[in-house]
Amino acid sequence: MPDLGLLFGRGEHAPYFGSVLPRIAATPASEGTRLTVAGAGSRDVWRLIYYAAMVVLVVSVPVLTHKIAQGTRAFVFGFSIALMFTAALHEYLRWHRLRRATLVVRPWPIKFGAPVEARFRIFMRDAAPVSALAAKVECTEEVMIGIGKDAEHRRSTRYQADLDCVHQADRRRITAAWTFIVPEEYPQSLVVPSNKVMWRLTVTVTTDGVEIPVAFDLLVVPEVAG
Amino acid sequence: MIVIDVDQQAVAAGDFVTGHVRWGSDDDRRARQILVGLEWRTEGAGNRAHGVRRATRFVPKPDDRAAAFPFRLMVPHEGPVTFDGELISIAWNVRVRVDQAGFDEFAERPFRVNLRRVPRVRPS
Repeated sequence: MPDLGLLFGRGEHAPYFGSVLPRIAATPASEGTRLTVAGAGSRDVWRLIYYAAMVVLVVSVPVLTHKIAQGTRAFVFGFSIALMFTAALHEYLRWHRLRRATLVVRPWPIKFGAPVEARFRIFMRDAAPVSALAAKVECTEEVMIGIGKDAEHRRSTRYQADLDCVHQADRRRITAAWTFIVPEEYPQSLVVPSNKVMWRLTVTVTTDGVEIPVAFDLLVVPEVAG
Repeated sequence: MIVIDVDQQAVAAGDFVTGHVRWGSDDDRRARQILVGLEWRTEGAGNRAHGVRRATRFVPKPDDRAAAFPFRLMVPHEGPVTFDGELISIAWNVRVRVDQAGFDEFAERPFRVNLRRVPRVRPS
């Protein structure tokens, strides 16, 4: 096969030669393919880091400039720090409650039109009680417009279906199972530079009034079953 | 002048695209090689991306100022399939480049890639 880059002229963007399917960490299991989320997902960890960074910034600026405000300004300053600390603590507690969540999917990868069985298990710390569980399957298009610090990210939900949730709980874990079908009029999973189509199964677990979202990326290939 | 004839306007992911390429020199320049490939391209709101996974090469004889040859290239099983979304669309083209002295010649011919239909496997 010739050098594929030779198909394009000098003024054109470099072509992409990699796979167009997302890389999803999964392990084979006896009942299907297992996807695992530890904690409440990396997005929440980044949020925690953001809050911590904000607290450090708010504390360090007046110390560094030696201008600690008096009276009302001191009150507003202290109040904002307290609010930020509370928010960070709330996020931490939320993140801390979830030990691990797994989703066993069969078949894998997912084909359009084929019934997909998904078995969900969540392990909570300190046997935190789960009062509600909601799940949905969604397909989103995600694009990046521009580059660098001026880059803009846009997201559009193409498909969303709520799944009926009947969950069973014992002392340590909560389980739920669903069957769903990916309709064939929607796009496959796709990850190429600046453009993504992601299929996700998101489970929202409510414990002590706090909602913990757990998202699993699904791999939908361009095949129709049947 | 480049003419691309594609036998099927739509194929499934994993199928072959077949056709013919005809080239004739407009200004008596000879072609060092003629490259034919299948290219997908994103369109829509986001930054454009394009890729190619399969290509073939035809080398004309040194004295030839015209050539015609068939091609047969497979669309990857993983796609992507053609679709029109809200933010992203995917289009496929047969792309030809004639490598010659001076400016090269390019040509494209669109086609569609559809979902592949596979028989449902019943669990035993």
